[in-house]
Amino acid sequence: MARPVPQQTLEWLHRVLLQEYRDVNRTYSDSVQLLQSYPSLSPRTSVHTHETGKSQLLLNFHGTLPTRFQSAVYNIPICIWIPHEYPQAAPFVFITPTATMNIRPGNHVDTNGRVYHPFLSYWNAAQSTLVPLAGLLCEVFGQEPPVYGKPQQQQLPQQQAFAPYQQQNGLQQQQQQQQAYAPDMISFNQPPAQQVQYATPAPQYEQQQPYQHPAYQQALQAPPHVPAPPSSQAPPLVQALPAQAYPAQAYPPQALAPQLAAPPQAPPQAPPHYSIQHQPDLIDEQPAAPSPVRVSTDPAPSLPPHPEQSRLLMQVSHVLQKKADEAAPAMKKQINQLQSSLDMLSRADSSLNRELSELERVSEGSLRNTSILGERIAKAKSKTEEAKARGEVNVDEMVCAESVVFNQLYELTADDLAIEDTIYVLGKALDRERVGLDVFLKHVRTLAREQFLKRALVRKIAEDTGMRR
Amino acid sequence: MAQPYAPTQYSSVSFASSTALRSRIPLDEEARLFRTSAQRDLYESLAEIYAIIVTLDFVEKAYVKDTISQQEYTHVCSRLLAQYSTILKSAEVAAEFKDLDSFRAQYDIEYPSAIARLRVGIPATVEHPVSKQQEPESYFPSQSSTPKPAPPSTASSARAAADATGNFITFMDALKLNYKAKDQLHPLLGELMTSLNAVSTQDFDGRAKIVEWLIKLNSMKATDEISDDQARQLLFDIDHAYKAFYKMLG
Repeated sequence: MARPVPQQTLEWLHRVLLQEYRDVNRTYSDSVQLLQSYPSLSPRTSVHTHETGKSQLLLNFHGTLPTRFQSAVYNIPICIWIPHEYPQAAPFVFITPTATMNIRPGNHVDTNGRVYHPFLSYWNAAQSTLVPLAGLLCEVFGQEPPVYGKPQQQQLPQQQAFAPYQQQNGLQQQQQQQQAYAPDMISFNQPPAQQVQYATPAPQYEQQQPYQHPAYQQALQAPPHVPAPPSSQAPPLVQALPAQAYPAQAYPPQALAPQLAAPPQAPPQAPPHYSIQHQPDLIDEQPAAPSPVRVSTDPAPSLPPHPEQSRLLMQVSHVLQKKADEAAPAMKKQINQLQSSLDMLSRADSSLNRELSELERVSEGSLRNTSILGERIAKAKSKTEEAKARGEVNVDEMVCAESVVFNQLYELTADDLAIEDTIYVLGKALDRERVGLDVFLKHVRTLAREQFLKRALVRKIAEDTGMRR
Repeated sequence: MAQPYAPTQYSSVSFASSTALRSRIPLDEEARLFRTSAQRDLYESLAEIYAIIVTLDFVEKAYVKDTISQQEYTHVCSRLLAQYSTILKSAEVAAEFKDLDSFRAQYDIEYPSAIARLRVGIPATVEHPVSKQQEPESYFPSQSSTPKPAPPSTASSARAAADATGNFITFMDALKLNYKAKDQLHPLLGELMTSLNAVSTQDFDGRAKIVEWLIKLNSMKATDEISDDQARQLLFDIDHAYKAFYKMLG
């Protein structure tokens, strides 16, 4: 089923892979092989939102897989997503039912349409590729079809979006629109990444897939409501053309910057204040220290300064200065010591506060736990009572299969093993000469015959119900 | 994502529903092993073979543990082996049975002692003959007292020796007449072996060869033939054994 892939598609594929994909060569070769083997699949890139809320632009293959179920060929619509870390990370596969189909959850498909298979869970980067995956999926779907035709005409909006999408012709136009569209999407994703609320607008957005500019701008207007809380000036900027979204990106970080600058300034200001406060005290103390200074040289204020007086004043000031200089280092040392003890005390104070709040939290948590435990214990007690009240249960009735044949299978296997044990015990009896050889032989023959018939039937049932291959 | 299968609320239901889809027979009525009486016969014959295998296994074990005497063992074992061959003579059974190994693989049968015995084709007392009174020299060469086997009474021994000689001649003539098929040679060789044991249990040079050929013939299918080389080898071995036997007699 190999069909040559058009050159344009190959070039587009290579271009797309170069942007974000880790192992370009491997992804490229696997994708090309898949496209050649399954012409009903076509590649495209679209945004996929993970269960964690993260959205990424990923390569995916959408289309149908032909599967044989009971001698009829059904085309199951699927989508195989290739993550950026391919082949280290396994691809994930979703069923994309059309408007007329419903998903049937089963062994391999869950209610969301995600496909599970041991091939995917034991995905090995060295050995696993896409073509065997597609083959396995065909086989699995051939045994258990994941979709069934819907009886009513209910059309959920999600599925409706896919129907018009599939009818779009010109795969390459879509791809190019998609591609032109992609870089904008990526840049748009980045600024509101911190906001958890963005996750909800995004899925709605990616499902409205007609890629036209009015829709794009509408969607642009929807998320801006979200960045409103931190900076109220962001929305007006964002509602402008997409080119101006970049200033919007720059704005929120800048808004935060001034706030960050302010706190560091506050602490440096505190110590200067503190040291300034010390100075007046020091100056106030000085007049008390040098007491033996003569006060008699105080003349009347109106007279011009007496030379003797000024000389004495100079002397006094020298002495005072000397005393002050002598006292200064000791004072400084004292100041430093007091400063350091103040620091320590304030640190101790803050750590004590922290401890206090921790302890409070712990005690609160313990109280909560106690209440939860109490509640659970009460529940457990009530369950125990209930279980006791139910009384004894017949062991044989506990295990039962869903259909008559499977019940029969259980019985037969149990009988087979029981006969095995019986024969063994008879053998032991023969050893201890509790039974004679003839008796022994007769019984063993009969038992063995019965055992064989049961075993043959077990085998036949297993083969007929497709349990063994 | 490390789940190999989709998580559903009732996982047992999901397996059953998928099995229900795959099943080729209806699941709401009891399954039966056979529907026609021909199938019933076939399965009963196969059951008989299985029963023989099981019984044979226990008999072998009992013989090895000395729970039963040699006569009992030889008697029962020969009977079981004969029954086994008889059942396999039927064409449908043989077709279904194919061969011992595939039968074992199909129905998960172990019982190694029985399988070994069926491959050899003769009871252990014939393969390794044990005299009625004492052990033969060849098994206990280090024993201090190893008297020769008691000389049998003349009348029965003469008859036995004549039987053995006659069987030798018959067998060698058969080979010279280009009898090559297993179902022609094996019975003759078996009789020869039995008559040899009846004469005496003393080992002579060539008895081991006879046993070896017996086992080889037994492992062939009934319609298989030995090649020309093998036929010449067999003739040579039997001739040699005959001469050795003669020497042993006196």
